[in-house]
Amino acid sequence: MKTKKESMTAERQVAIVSGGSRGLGRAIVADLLRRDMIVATFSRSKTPFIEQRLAADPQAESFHWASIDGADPQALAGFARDVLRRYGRIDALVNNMAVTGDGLLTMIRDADIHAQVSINLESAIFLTRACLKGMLPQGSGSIVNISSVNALRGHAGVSIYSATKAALIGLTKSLAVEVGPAGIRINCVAPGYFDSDMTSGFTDDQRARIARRTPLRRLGTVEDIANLIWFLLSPEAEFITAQVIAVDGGFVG
Amino acid sequence: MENLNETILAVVLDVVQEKSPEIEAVRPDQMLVEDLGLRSLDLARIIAKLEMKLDVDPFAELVAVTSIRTSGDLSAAYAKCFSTDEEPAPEAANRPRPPRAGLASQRELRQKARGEQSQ
Repeated sequence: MKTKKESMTAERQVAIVSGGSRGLGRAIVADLLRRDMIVATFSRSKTPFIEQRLAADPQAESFHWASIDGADPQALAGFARDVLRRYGRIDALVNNMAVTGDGLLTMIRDADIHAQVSINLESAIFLTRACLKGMLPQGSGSIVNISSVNALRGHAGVSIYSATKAALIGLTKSLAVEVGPAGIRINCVAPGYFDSDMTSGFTDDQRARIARRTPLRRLGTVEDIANLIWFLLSPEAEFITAQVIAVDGGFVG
Repeated sequence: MENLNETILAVVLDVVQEKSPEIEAVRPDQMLVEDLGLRSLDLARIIAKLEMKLDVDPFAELVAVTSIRTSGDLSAAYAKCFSTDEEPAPEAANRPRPPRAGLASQRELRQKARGEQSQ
């Protein structure tokens, strides 16, 4: 009889990554493809990265993309169903999609608050539920929610973003208990400051200040984060669930 | 309809046998929790398996999942998805209702929560 680890590696694993067209999501998609996973992602519109991946794999043997509104629960459920029909399974989900909105709470527009709660939290909940409908019959699956060090340490100007990212930790911990008996693991990755679109506007002084406050004396890279995500999704982490792991060079201590 | 019932009973049996391999068959009138020993997560797995097989989810809008106590209840719920008749099936509507397993499992959860808080 095959062990769980053997059966999980017997066929190509299928991962869904939300928000995989740019930034960290793009890096996660590229990393999982490099590790021979089948990867499905979505965004409103194609980016050059998506166009390149689609051109390289016209039969969608390893990469599937769809244009959907990530804030639409029906569209998210439909996307997950489509992936199940195409590939017959969903082994992994990375809830990466997020929007930011800087500003003091009293000065943020209502629409920006709703957008952050909707995309960062509600969409993760709806997509997780849709993917669990594939994972529960399999009796296996691994979910990684991308939280943030802002959920672990307060910073002025990001209260709504922090609230949504902290909520993902609560979702992770309760859902891990809920579906653990069905062989499904859920963990959180909390990135610190890393080189990305979100930090591209930082001045050299700001970057130097962050590096000085980081015990490992540098900003992170998307590879630092993608490596941990791969580990958590892989059978090597088959006894790890309900955890929050910061990838921040020791920034939050 | 017979095929639908058979499909549902087969999926229920599949999940039941993971916990109780000695059970060789399930009947539509058996209580999922009290008679077959299933828990709410098992019911979630049954519903997920049925959604993959039947491509419908009656619990999204049509039926409250807490009303499901037996395999027969499951059959009646899925029958609604394939029926153009908006009235409930007579046999489902007239059948005497045993105690609600769905509520029992919710009660279990509340008791567990209270127990953990008091520790």
